[in-house]
Formats: sequence, structure tokens, C-alpha cells
Amino acid sequence: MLVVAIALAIWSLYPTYRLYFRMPKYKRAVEAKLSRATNHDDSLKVQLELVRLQKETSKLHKSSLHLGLDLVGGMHLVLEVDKSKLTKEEARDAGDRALEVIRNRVDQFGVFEPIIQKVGRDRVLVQLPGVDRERAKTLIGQTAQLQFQLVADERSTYDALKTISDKLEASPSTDTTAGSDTLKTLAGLDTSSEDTGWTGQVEEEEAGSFMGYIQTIGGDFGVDDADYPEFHRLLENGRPHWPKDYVFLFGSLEPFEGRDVRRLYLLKAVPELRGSAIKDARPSPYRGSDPSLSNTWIVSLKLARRDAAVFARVTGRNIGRRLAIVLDNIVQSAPVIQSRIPDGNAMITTNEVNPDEARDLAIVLRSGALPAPVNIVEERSVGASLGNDSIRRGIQAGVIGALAVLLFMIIYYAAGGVLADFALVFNVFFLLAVLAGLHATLTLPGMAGIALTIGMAVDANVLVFERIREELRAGKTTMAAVDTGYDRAFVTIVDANVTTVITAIALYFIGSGAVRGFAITLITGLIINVITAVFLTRFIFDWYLSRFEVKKLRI
Amino acid sequence: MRLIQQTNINFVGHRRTFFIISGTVIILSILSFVLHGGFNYGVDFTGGTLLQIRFDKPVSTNAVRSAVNAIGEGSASIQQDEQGDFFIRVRAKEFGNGKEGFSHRLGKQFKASFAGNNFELLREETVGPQISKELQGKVLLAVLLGIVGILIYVTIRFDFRFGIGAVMALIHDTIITLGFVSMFNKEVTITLIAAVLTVIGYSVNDSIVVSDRVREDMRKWRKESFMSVVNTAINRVLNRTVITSITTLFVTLAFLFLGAATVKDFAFVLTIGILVGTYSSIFVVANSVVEWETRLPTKRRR
Repeated sequence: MLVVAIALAIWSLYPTYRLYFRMPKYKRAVEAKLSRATNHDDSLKVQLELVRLQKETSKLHKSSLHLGLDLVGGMHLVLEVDKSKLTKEEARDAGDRALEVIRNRVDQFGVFEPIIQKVGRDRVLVQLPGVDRERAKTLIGQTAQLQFQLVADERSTYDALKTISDKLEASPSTDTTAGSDTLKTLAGLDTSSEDTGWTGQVEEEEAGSFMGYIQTIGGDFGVDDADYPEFHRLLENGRPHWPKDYVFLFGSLEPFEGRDVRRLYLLKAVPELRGSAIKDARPSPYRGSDPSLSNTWIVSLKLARRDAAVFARVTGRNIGRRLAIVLDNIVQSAPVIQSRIPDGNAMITTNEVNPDEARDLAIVLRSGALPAPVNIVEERSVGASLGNDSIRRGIQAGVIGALAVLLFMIIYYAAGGVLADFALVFNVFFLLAVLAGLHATLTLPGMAGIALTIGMAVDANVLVFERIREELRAGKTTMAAVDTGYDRAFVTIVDANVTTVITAIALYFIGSGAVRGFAITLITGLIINVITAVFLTRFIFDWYLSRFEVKKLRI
Repeated sequence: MRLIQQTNINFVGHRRTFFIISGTVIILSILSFVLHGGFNYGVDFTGGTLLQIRFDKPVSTNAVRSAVNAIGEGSASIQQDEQGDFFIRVRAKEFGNGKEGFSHRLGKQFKASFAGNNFELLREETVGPQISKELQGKVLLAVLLGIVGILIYVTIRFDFRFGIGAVMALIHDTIITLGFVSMFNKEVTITLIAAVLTVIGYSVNDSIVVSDRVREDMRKWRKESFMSVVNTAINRVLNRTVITSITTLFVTLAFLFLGAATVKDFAFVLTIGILVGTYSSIFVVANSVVEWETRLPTKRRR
């Protein structure tokens, strides 16, 4: 059983070990190779390796122990919807609209493992590891921009992409910095260079693979999310060769055949309508006559009267073409115009039996129509250098404290101390394994929590050993003393740990991130404590006593 | 090795002395709290902004102070830690020019005041007044929840009297720990409250070990007087109490002296709490039960 537990723990910790110890080395090695690469082929190979590395890292990250923002740096924001200017009806789903808008924007950052959650009725919690604070604040605080733009047909989209590819190949070294500058001014952000860390280091042009990145996704063109930063950069470099009056925009991140992808659209630059035209948008079941749509969900869209005429003209002229719904420069949906819509009451079919898509789209449409202004009510940001500093000092303090405990136990209890130390090491090992298994987040107080469990883990053994000493003094045989010692101490150990767990649970409810991390470590640590102290050491004790027929126990 | 040989100290007999010691420290704690005009609450509870800034070259506190004054935030509190990092804190109510863009304006001012000296904003915490109010409520709730939970558990497992004993020790430990927080003018943050709650857990843990032993011995030596059973029990667990405290202190002291700034105060509270908790588990818990038992004897003992 012990062997199984150890194997499980190793299995659970392995991804964490690889993520934090192996991957950085590997990454440095690949980057060094990249800087040495002199010819085109070499650098292409290294870039492919980088992409693989990136995929591997994000896969590992999903099954690892996470480090809290206070350790890696980044920002924690709580935004509250300002409802003071909204009517009661408008305020009702303001929280959902704000969440949708914020999620949409954070998506553009390309942040690694962001957390975006609704807290309570109208607050949104955003956690962005390793993000530039000012940029994030400006971007998230903006009011939503919703537009309707006509989509170019498949043929002209393909031709445009082909042209860009050809031009890029003809002039392989376009100025990269100019490219990313355009990008910044375009969307107010720069996904390609800083956020993902290493794609920005790619200096060599790689025009040959431009078309290679493109795939077809349910009738549209698109790219794999892993290729997105690189493709985006190439596309921006080719901006001078984009068709006149048209722009390329991406769709939001979506799953497709087990991968994350983004669709790519060529849109008319001038929007046909803006979000303010929308009066209302609601999801509802389809009630029309088309049998192929029965049981599916639709979004019914109502336009303001003055915009209905414009909409009628646009839809009348473009039957069969697609009209994209674009929120903050991200295409949310691109339905086909079926017929002229004269009265401003449109219907967007989703072909889905599940109402989720219709509901989300309705929220998007309403968030453009009814901006839900947000205020930052809580902001905590930690610079990466402070985070590194904290980790270093935390580990240093933890190791020194733990060594002092280990040493003390050996000096004080001799053989028993060695046993207790053995249990202690296992304890910390299992604790980390369980935390990794729970994908828990390790925060600065969490590190202190681990250290504290070390101090308290000893307690259980101290209770047992003191009891054994006492029984030995009372004249019992070694075997009997060990038995009684464990039995008597067991009750006390459980009682003592249960009460501490109760306070830790209370702590958990305070709910702020770092403190929660501490509470989780403490609870897990205490439970493991009881198990290792009572079962593991006893098992070893019994084995030792029966194996060596110990006459006199040095404890 | 033995630290403490088999002891037979008359803890129970001297209980009045210990009550007086505890009482004095509690009064001192409350006095410190009153004299300081309450706790030195951090932005978690007052709302406001906290900035941690590191300069490349050393800068005097006065220079930082005048830069902060220059942007009209004269009420800001400025502290420097031993690493030279500056902690600038402005409470929500004390903002001279509003909290919007505070760090931005300060950054600009610093660039002007300390030309040629690079600085880095290591940490920024801004808490709105609404959030801070909610946090206060949550903390109060968590503390109450913790205490009630412990009381219920101890009452189920032990006599109600030991429940009261444990809770008395807990209140004793909490007041004195908070007293030290106030005496050393530590900033009360969420992390610090977490440490106080941990102290509560530790305090009860210690009380339980003593109570457990009293309960066990009471069954064994029915003929002995309650007082002498309690006294023997305390003596028997004395070794354990002291050793566990020592090992835990190794860890908290390591963090107190080597840990990062945010963990230091946390470790400070734990260190004080463990010392007080150890004291109370030896001198207060059982003694308060004895005191109660002497005044209001229970007729039949289980």
C-alpha cells in the first residue's frame, strides 16, 4: 500500500517537476540554439521545436501545482458593474454582459491561464499572471465596441491570403517592429511579442509556412491557437498587401476536433451598423416553419427604429452573404443573411439544440447595445521580480526551518527521531503531491503553511514518543510500550488535528486568494499528518521491532 | 535526551499566580490597543492604496516624503524595510487628489525627483471601500465560525467545562497576540488575520492535548482528587507541549528572520501565538476548569 501511495505521489508530482525544473532549461537550450541558427532551415527547425515546447508547457500546466500571483507576479482585479446609470431592467444582466466583454478582451491578450469569474451578482474577478498592469487596466476598463461588418466570400478571402503569402515570400525580411507597432495601434494590444514569452524572439521571417498554418474549420479559414501568435505576426507584416477597404479579424477561441482554434475572417473595414443600433436581443426556441430547425435555439434581435431602415437596405442588397457580429475586434458570429429584413426584427439561427450558444450571443449583442461600465474595486499586482524574491526567500526560510526540526528530532529522540524525520519527509512529499493532484495554487502564505505543517507534523510523533517513554518507565516491555503508546496517543492526535482543521475551514471562507491557499495547504497537511504519523511510523516501528528483536529501545 | 526530567510542579496550587500574570498581560494588551487608538489597519480593511517601490540607488525617507507631498498626498504613510524597499500607503479617506491614477502620478513625480535613479514598482494593492467593508464582515464571520466550531467539537468530545476551558485559553491567546500586534504597531492585513486564526487553531490543539490527558487519567485514578489528577496530567504532557512548541518555533522563526516582507508579520504573529499558546495550555486551560470545579462542584463525575 505504501508503495502504491508513493507511486501515485510521484505520478502526481511529475508534471509539476517537469514544468518548473525541466522546461525552463529546455526552453533556454532551444532559445540558445535559435540565436546560433545561421541559415533559414535551421531557424525553421528551431521554431518548430519552440511551438512543440509551448504546447507541452501548456499541457503540463493543466496537471501541475500552480504558483500564485504573489509568487509569479501578475495582477488580480475585481471589477464592479456601475449600475448607477442603468435602468432596473438594464441592470438585471449587467454582470453577465460585463463578464462576456471582459472575457472577450482577456482572450485577446493571449495570457497564459487567465482566471475570469463572476463573483456575486455584478462583480467580475480577473487574474492575469505576468501581465503589464497599465495595459491590462486600460484595456479591461474600456467600454465595449460592437459592430456589424460584411464578410468577404471564401474565394476572395483565399486570394487575399495567397497574395499576402506570395508578397511575404518575395520580400522575406519585412521590418518586424513596424509590424507590431501597427498591431498596437490597431487593437490597443500586442499579442505577438511580449505575452507568450518566446514567440517574440523569432527574428527570422518564415513566409514559406504562412499558408501552411491555415486550415479549414467548418467552412471558414482558421489557425490553430498554438500557431496564432506567429501567424498573427506574419499577417500583420503583410498588412500593406491586404485588399483595399478590407480587414482581417479573428474569431474567439473555440474548440475544434480536440484542439483550440481561431477562425479568420476577411471583413469590410467600414461597419454597416454599430452596437447602439440594437434595442434588444434574446435567446428563444425556434418556432418557425423550417423543419430542419425545429428544437433549435435562435436569437431574436430587435433594432432601434431609425436603424431598421439601414438594416433593411444592407440585408436587401446582400442576401446570401454573411454579416459578422464583431465585439472589440473579435468576430463572435457570422450568420448568413437569408432575406431582407424590413422591420428591424431579425432572427439569428444557431442550428444548436443546446441554448448556450444562443444565450451567449444574445449577451454579446446586448453588451454592445448596452455598455455595462465597470469600475475597478480591488487591484493587487505583484512584479515578477518581487515574486522571484519571495520564492527564493520562502524556500530558504522553509529549508532552514525544516532542517532545524529534523536535526532537533534526531538529537532528542535518537532512533525515534530518525523515524519521525523519515515520516516528515514523506509528509511534505505527499502534501505536495496532493496539492498538485488538486491543481491547487501555491501562494506565499501557502508556503508558510507547508512549513507550519512540518512543525506540527512533528507534534504527532512527539505525542507518541513521549507516551512510549512513559510506558517504558512504567516497566512495560518494548513491544507493549509501543502498542500502548500509539493507541493512547491516537485519540489525542485526531482530536488535536480536527480542531485545527475547523479553524482552517473558517479561514477558507474569508476567501481572498492567498489566504485560501494557506487554508488548503493547512487542511491537506493536517490530514496527511495524521495518516503518516499514525500509520506509516507505526508500520515501520512494528517491522523494526519484530525484525531485530529489540530489547532496549533508544527513544 | 531529555529536556525536562519527570516533573511534579504544583501548577494547580499556584493557579492564582498564573491568573494574575495572564490578567496583567491582557490588561496591558487592551491598554496598548486603547493607547494606539485601535489597530493599524492595512488597506485590506480601510480601503486605499499600498505601493512597494524599490530604488536602484539608496534614497532617504525624507526625499520620498517630499516627493509624495509634492503630488498632494501628505497623509500617506511611508515606511522602509531593511532591504531598502519603500512602502507607501494611503487610506481611502485620506486621498488628497483622489485615488485615480495615484500610482501613475507618483511614478511621474519620482522620475522628476530622482532623475538618474531607476525604480521599480514591485507591488500595488488598491482596495475599494466597499470591498474593505465586506472583508471586515467576512473576517468577523470566519473568526466566529472558527470559535463556535471548536466549542461544538470540544463539547461533544469532552466535558462542557473543558470546552469552556479551551475557549477561555483561546480568548486569552487571541487577546494577548493581538495585544502584541498593537504594541509593535504591526499592520493588520488579511494575511495577519489568517495568522491569528492559525494561532487560535494551535491554541486549541494544545488545550486538547492537556484535556485529553486529564480525561484519561480521571478514569484511571478515580480516588484521587480532581485537583491532583489535573496537576499530574499537566506534568505528564509538559514535555510534549514544550517540544512541539520548540519545533514549530524553529519554523516560524526561520520565516520571521529570513522570509519575504509579506510573510514576516505573519511569522511574527505565529511566533507570539505559539509562545502564548504554550503558556496558556500549561497554566490556564486546566486551571480555569479547576477554578470552576472548586467554586461550583459537579455532583457526580463520569
